Amino acid sequence: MDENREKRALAAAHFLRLPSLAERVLGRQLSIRPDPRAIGEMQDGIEGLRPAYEQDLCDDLERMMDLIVPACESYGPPRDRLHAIAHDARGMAGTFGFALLGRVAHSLCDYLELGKHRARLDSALVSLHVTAMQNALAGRTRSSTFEDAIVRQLEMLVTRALARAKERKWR
Amino acid sequence: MAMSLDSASRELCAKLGILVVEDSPPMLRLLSTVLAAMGFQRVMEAAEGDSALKLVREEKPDIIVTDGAMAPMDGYELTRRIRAGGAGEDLRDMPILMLSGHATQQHLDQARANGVTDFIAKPITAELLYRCVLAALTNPQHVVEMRNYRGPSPRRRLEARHSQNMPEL
Repeated sequence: MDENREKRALAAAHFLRLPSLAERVLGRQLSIRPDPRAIGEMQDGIEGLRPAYEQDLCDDLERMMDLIVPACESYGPPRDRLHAIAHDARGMAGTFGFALLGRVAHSLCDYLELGKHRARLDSALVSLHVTAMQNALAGRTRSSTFEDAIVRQLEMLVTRALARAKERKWR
Repeated sequence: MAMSLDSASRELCAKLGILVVEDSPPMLRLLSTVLAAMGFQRVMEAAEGDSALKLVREEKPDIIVTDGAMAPMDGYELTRRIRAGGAGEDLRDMPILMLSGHATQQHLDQARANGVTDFIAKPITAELLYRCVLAALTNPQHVVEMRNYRGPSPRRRLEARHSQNMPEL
């Protein structure tokens, strides 16, 4: 909606304050206080899924290794598959305690999304990301400072690649 | 009469239906598991917006948690259609929480303009999801009604929720 149309629509709008859903359903107000027991049970639900998630992630990372070369050569199903795995890891790894892995996956997603507009991608850069994700999963990285430095370097490389691509598009 | 949420939240969730819309099967499983653990007895699932819209019409959930990017219909379009009455007049102002790994200002602006109630940046934690869902259920709803739209004000401020920016309860 453009701004003028939005302003006109809002000028003709009605503003209402409705009772909360809780009040409508229970017929009374709730005094709101977080329930640590409920949060604990939700966390238990996450923990229950952790072993299966770790195994799936391990399998996915192996699949990613096989996808790097075909995904970087040209745009097609291997690139989409690689992006789908990275996208899932970005959204979920942090929930299961793999925050660093999720951050690397985020950086890889940003780079692969650039691939929608270009034929070839840098396989070395993609490979560095996948290796960093494998190391993060296996806990092989040496210290938090060391891990952080690696991820910062990867993020910087992706930022530069994105900036170069943007520059080329505008020329 | 005011009642402590400790005892009432389960009673509340047990009476409500929640629809989870997510195209990633492991994420869908995670969300459904966690929301069932929160106490929701009726957890419905859809893999994208089109089938979600059909479920909303048929099953009439009370609240929706949806992913942003999905195909063929994404979470933004799903929200827009619900606010426009595409799932029924009585469901236009239902709470819709969006979960997304893309939390740029552009995504937030799009979510706000389409009528998203709250925007949660992935990855989620149990406490983050708990607080966001509960806030959506227990806060009074400030609704704007105009032609083809009934929902939260499309001009209000909308920030991404994450572990450092959880709703106050």
